Amino acid sequence: MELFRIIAGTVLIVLGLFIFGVATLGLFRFRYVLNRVHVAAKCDSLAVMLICFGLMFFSASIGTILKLLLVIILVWLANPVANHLICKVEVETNEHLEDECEVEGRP
Amino acid sequence: MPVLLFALWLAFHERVTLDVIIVGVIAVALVSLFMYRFSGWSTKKDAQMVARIPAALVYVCRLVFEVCKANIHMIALVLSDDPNAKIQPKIVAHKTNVKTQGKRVALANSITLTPGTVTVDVMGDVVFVHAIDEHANAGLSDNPLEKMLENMERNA
Repeated sequence: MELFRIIAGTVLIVLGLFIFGVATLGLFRFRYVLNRVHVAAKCDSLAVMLICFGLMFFSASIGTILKLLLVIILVWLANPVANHLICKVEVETNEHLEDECEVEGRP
Repeated sequence: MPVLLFALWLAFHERVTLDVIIVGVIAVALVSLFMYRFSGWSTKKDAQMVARIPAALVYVCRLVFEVCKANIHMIALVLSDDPNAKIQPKIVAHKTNVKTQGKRVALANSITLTPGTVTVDVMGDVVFVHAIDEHANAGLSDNPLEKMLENMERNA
């Protein structure tokens, strides 16, 4: 049981770190803000969830587990909103948006 | 709601002793009293919320599944040879049938977390979406999460 906990926790944390690594790499590989945001929006939320689940396996008390659950909920609510704001500012302030992508409708 | 607040209080304290419970009950009572009085909470709304919990749980499970799919898609894209050549970014105006304000927020956040799409802005019932390629653009019109939200609304 102890062994299972350590293995499951480690696998989840390593997977989460891998996704974080890919997300960071992705930020540098794409060239335009709106494409970069895609990587940040998706990979970060899953990576945080995986790492928190991994930490849950290592934590001793139920209180720590509940707090980690709150961390996940907070990040899943805050992350899309933050990315959404970055997009909004970019779309509203960039005058040459059509050079970067097709625009079907504009707020 | 007061039950939820009390659970949060206990979760932050990590131990259940008499003093924690007494202080907790007093604090929760004060906060609930204030919110019921001035912030529009009501027992009717609480009952509605409890009734919605199963549907919300199904929704969250589906959302986690979609996020995993989105991540596989994104990782494959980032690790491919030339990610910039493979995408055709496009900003689309997507009309939604979801009516309530809260569900629209949920929809906007879900679109951001589903494969290949990021919400730029919400104006009334139009959601402006940045889709990273044609495939994501096509997937937008039959989004399973949006259908689930519409169903929840119809049953409410």
